[in-house]
Formats: sequence, C-alpha cells, structure tokens
Amino acid sequence: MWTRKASILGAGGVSLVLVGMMMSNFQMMVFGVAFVAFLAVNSWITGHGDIQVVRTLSADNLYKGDDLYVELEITNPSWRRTQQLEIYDNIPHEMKLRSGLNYMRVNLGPGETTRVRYVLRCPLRGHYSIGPISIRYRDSFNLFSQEMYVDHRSDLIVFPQVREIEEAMVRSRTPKMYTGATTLRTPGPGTEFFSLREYVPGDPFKIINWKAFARTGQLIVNEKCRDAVTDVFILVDSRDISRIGTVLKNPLEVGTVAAASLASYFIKRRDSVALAVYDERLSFLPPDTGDKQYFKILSSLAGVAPKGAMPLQAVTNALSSRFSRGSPVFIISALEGDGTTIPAIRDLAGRGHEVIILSPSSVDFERLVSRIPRTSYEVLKLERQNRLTALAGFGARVIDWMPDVELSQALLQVKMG
Amino acid sequence: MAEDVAIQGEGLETLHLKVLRRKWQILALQITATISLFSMYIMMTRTYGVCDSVESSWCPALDHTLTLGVIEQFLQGQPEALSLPIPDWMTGVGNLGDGRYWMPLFVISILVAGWTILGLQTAKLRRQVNMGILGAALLYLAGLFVINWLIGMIFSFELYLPFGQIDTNRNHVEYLVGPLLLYIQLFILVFYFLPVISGLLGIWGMSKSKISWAIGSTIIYLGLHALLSYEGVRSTIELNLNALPVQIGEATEWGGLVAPEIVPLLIISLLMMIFLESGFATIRYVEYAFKLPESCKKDPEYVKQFDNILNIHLQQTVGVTFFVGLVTALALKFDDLIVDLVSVFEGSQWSEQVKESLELQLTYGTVISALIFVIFIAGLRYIIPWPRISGLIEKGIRQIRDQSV
Repeated sequence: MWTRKASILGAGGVSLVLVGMMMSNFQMMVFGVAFVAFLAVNSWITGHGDIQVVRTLSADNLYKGDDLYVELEITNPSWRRTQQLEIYDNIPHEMKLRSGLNYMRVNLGPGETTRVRYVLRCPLRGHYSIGPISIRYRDSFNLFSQEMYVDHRSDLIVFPQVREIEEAMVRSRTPKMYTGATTLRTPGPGTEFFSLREYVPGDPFKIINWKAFARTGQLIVNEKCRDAVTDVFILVDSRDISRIGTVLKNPLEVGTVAAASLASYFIKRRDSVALAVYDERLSFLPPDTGDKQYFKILSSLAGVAPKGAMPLQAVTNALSSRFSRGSPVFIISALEGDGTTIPAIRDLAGRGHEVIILSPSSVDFERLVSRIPRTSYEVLKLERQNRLTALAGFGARVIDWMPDVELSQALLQVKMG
Repeated sequence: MAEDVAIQGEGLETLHLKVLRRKWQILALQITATISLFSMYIMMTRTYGVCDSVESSWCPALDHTLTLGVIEQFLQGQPEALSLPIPDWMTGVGNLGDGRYWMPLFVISILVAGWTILGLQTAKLRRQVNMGILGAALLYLAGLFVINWLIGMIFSFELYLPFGQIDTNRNHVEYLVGPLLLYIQLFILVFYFLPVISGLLGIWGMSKSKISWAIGSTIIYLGLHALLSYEGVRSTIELNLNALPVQIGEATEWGGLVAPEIVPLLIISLLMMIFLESGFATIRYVEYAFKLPESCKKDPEYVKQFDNILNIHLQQTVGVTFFVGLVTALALKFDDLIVDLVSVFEGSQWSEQVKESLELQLTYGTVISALIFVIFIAGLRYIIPWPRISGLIEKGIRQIRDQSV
C-alpha cells in the first residue's frame, strides 16, 4: 500500500511533468521524472511480513497480582530482508506492562532472529489470551507499507489470590471446625487394610493378594477402608449486584479470593470441596479433593463474571440432593437484592448443615465509588445489620466483611446467633 | 517453561538520547543531510542565480548580492551617504561565483550550531537567552533614539516631536535608520537563505516542520523561477531573468547519457531527496529510540535492531540515490533507443510516423518516453526478484564472514 508520502510524491511528480509540458519547462519535467523514478526504484525494495513467531510465557496459570514474563522469538525464514518491520504483540487491556515493551522495530536479514521480552502484571483474575501479533512492514523511506497479523495466541488463566487463613481458623471460637481425613469401617478407596475378598473381573491387578493366591490357588484381592473426608460446600454469589464497588474491590472480587482461600485451606487438609457459583444460572463443581480439584476450582473462579439475578433459594433447592448430610456450607454473598436469602438459610440450617456466611459489606464497597449521604448510609447499614442478625438467629455463623479488612481477620469475627 | 523465558538483558551500548547524538550512524545521516542541503543550495544558485545579461543591475534570481547591491547603491546616492551595516566580506557582496555564498553559509552554520547547543540547555537558560536576544534587539532598535530624544527634551525644557524639526539636532528619528538598515539587511539574507537556515535547524534541532519549511521554500523558489522565466511572462514584463533553454540539447554528459542542461536539475532533485530522506529519517529514528522505556533502551536486542535499521538506511540511501540517478538518466535517453529500434523497421509507414512524432515533439517525446521507461522499471520487480537476489548475496556474505571467524 502506498503511504501518504508516496502518494504526494507520485502525484507531485506526475503534476510536475504535466505542468512542465504545458509551460514548455523541461526543468519541471526532469524533477517530475526524478520523483517518479524514486518511487519506481523504491518499489523494488519493499519488505515482507513472512516471519515465524514463537511466544513463550513464564507460566500458563498464575495468581492475580503476579508478573508474567513473555518472550517473542521472531525469525525471518525467507531469503529476503524484512526491511523495516514493526512488531506489536497484542495484550489484554486488563494487563499492565511492568517492564520492557510489547513493540519493536526491526530490520531482519535472511535467517536472522530477534527476541522481544517484556513483563506483564496481571491485576485482574480471568481467562486471557495474548496475541495475535500485529505486523507492519515498510521500506526505509516510508513509501510503501503493509499491515497484517500473525495469528499466534497464548492462553493463560489468572487465578484469584489465595490468602493464608489457617491461623485465623485456629484462633476462631471453634478451634478446628471440621475434621480432616478419617477412616470409616466401610470398603472403598483408601490406605488402610479392610478385608480380603474374591477377585471379580474389573478389579485392578495391583490389589491382588499374590500370597493368598499362592496359598489358596484362588484370586483374592485386598480391600481398603474408605478414607472419609468432610465435604465442604462453597457457594459464591456472582449475581450482577455483586459488581458494586471498584474494578479491583467489589464483593465478587473479594468473594472469589475468599472462596479460593477456603478451597485451598480445606483441600490441603484432604477434605473434599464443592463449588457452586450462581449468577444467571448455577454452575456446580461436585465435591472432590486433590490438586486436580483445586485447579478446577481456581479455573472456575477465574472465569466468574457478575451477571444475572438467581435467587439463593433456587440454588439451595437445586443442590439439596447433592449436599452431604451435615456438611458445612459456606455462602459468600453480599446478601443484597435477594428476598429468598433468609428462607434459604433457614432451610439449610434446618437440614442440619452448618452454615457460614461470609458477607462483603456492599454498602461500604459502594462508598468507594460514590458518595452516600451519612443518613442514608446509616439507614442502609442498619438494614444490613438487621438482616445479618436475623440470619444469625437461624443458627448461621455470619461474618460482616468490611472492604479494608483482611480475610483472615474477617474470619475471626464469626457472629453467632 | 518458566526457565525458557529470559529476562531482558543489559548491554554496554544503550539507546539514550545522549548516546544517540554521538552515534556514528545518526551523525552520518545528519552530516549527509547537511552536505546535501548545502550542495543543493549551491547548485540551485548556479542554475537559478543568474541574470539574463551581465549589465542588468538586478533581477529576481536566487542571488542575495544583487538585492544587497541595489540597496547599497541607493543608500550611497542619498545626500548623507549611508551604507549597510553588515560588511561585504560577511555577506559575500563583491565576490564572484560560489564565493558569494560560502561566507553567509559559514556564518549561518555557526549560528545554527549555537542555537542547537542552546536547545540542549535547561528551559530556564533557553528562556533567559531568548529574552536577552530579544531585549538586545529592541534596545538596539529604539534605545539610542529614545534616550537621545528624552535627554534632548529634558535639557531644552520643551516637548517636541523627534522629526520634521528645523534644528537638525532635534531630528532624533535618524538614530533609527542604522538599526532599521541592519534589520532590513538581515531580513533579505534570511529570505534568500531560508532553505538553508530552516533546513539546518531541522536537521540539527530535530524538527520535521523546519525540514518541511526548507523543502517548501526551495520548491517555491523553483516555482517562482519557472513562472517568471515562462515565455508568456517574459514577453510581458522585462525581468532580465536567465531562463533555462526550452528544449533539451544533445546528450554529452555522463558518458553521453544526459544533456548538459539536465545535469544540474537532476543533481538538484537527487540532493533534495537525500536531504529530505536523511533529515526525516534522523528524527524518525531518534524519536522511536527516545520513546522506548528505560529497560528497552538498555536491551542489546533493541540496540542491535536499531543499528540494523540505521545501517540499512544508510546503505539504501547510497544505493537508491545511485539507481534513481541512473534510471532517470536512462529514462531521459529512452527516446533515442525507441527511435533506434523503430529505425530497424525503416521504410514502413508506422516506423516513420513514430519517428516523426518523437522527433517533432522533442522535449515532450523525451519526457513521455522517460515515463514509459520508469513504469517499465517499476514493473521489472515482478520479473526480477531484487529482494531475493540481494538477500541471497547478503546471506552468502554472512556465511563467508562466519566461516572466516
């Protein structure tokens, strides 16, 4: 494509020739021919964008606030010079450049390679994609340029931050709220021996008791005691109303941090953790333990976005068959704009669940972005306090979480009914 | 994976502004632009700075000495003989040929160098110097006049106007004549040397607009000359301007490739391109490096690629200039080739018609055939893969160099 400069030069050259012909002035014609010749000669040396790009990231998954190191390796595999090549690596607008630059001007010879290195800070959780790479090549005199892009993308997940909360739980009024892994006298997957039984097709070979087989001539297998763990249910409110506050500080953001921290805490203790996120619909991750479950929970929390207005009772009703008997249920919600909160929690408590409500104070989050008159603020606070007290009255442990309070500190202030 | 990503390195060479100003490639670009600017101006004065007849005292040619000489003559004809304040050895008046321009060009270079150095100082110092120069200029213009007038009124205990008085000692306005003559002389010099002044300020002060001004004023001078030397104008107004011949003569220069009338024009157009491209390129590259964040300025990869860009630009400036000159010269000679080719078919009606039209049209035929040749050259890139050939040569040279290392 011709640049503005080339167009002016071309038009100027032709105009000079024409005006020169009209005025019988050959000096103008010579200038005109020289200008056009300049364009013609430069058209031989236009660049190209046939390059190979490899992007390497320091991590595919990282936590909110972490730094991501990115390296672009650009190679010119052709027999031609690229001429002036501008390389711009498109990065998500949520990410901030901390060091280096995602842009470089190069002039790569045949087979030459260069590297662009930069560091990104990821201040927001989410599923992101780095790329594609925008390219613009032009000749040295900026007469012809062409834009294109290399569709090379790298996906990454930014998990919510995980806070240390063990200390807080130890100091709480119930020093160790839930037991870790305990053995039950029932067969199942576990570590301790339970009994011997006959082999049935489908049993794995590794559980065959070879000594018993040698003694009896029959295939006998070892059965293990099932390691029973506590099933912990975490319900995260991701309704549209939970976006109140700033981008970095709102009930949903702090809620995801709390959910990730609680999941980390319980999975480390070998408990099973289930996650339910409700917005315009319910997303449920069945209880499980281990690193895989931990990854699933963090990935799920990374993709949470405020939308919809699903009532809590619809969630508890939908999950009622899945809740293990007597298992603790954590509800992380600002408790705003939902009239079904109280009956839902009353039902849960009535079914014998231990309900812990971690409630980010939406009134105080709203104060971060807009000025609320003092009287209105007092009234809203009072309404909220009444709601929390009512919930506590049904046997739920209620935590009123203020924006400037750390999660570990907030967990210390369990309000009992 | 994490260990695959290296952090940005730091080399000995950086892209900081102070370093860039001393970088040989940047200096080479600036010096190239400066030399081409001077050469272009000198070449222009040789072509457009000549009057029709030697006897004529003034004509609108690109020669400041003509105008200064006329003013000097006028002043010496006054009852109180006056003269222009800036001495002739400094303005080049009285010299012949290129000697008329060397001294003013030298003085302008010194002043621009001072101005550029001032541009590197702090804003406060720059403001102080600017205010000082302005104050001195105003004081020189009106200071002596005002002081004398006030003293005159105080000592005579009378209010009077400083002009039209019977007592000539009271006509203090005469003190304004000297400074005004200086400013007029400076204005004339600035007017004639505007392409050089703004060009130099643009190159060394890194200003794109000033380079545009230099090119703009050059084109205006060329346009004015073309207009004033146009036959229609010349027949109406007697300007004594030496007009270029209407038709191109026999090609005797550059090995019989171009006509002598074309050589200066071709050189001027080539020098104009070199000046424009080198001047703009310097600013473009320095701006890019300046805008880079600190970590990139120290990154050896950025430094290496910056060097690559500059080296290739310098190489291409030489190569492209040579080829543009060659292509233009060949293009202007192309009509001869067509006539020769057509003469092969001598005898046919078609060949006679073509030959006749080319020869009759003369300059027109030359220029039209030149444009056809240039278009052919542009299309040649689809037949001959120049970038691949040059890339192959480059790769071969690099391999030989690597083997020798």
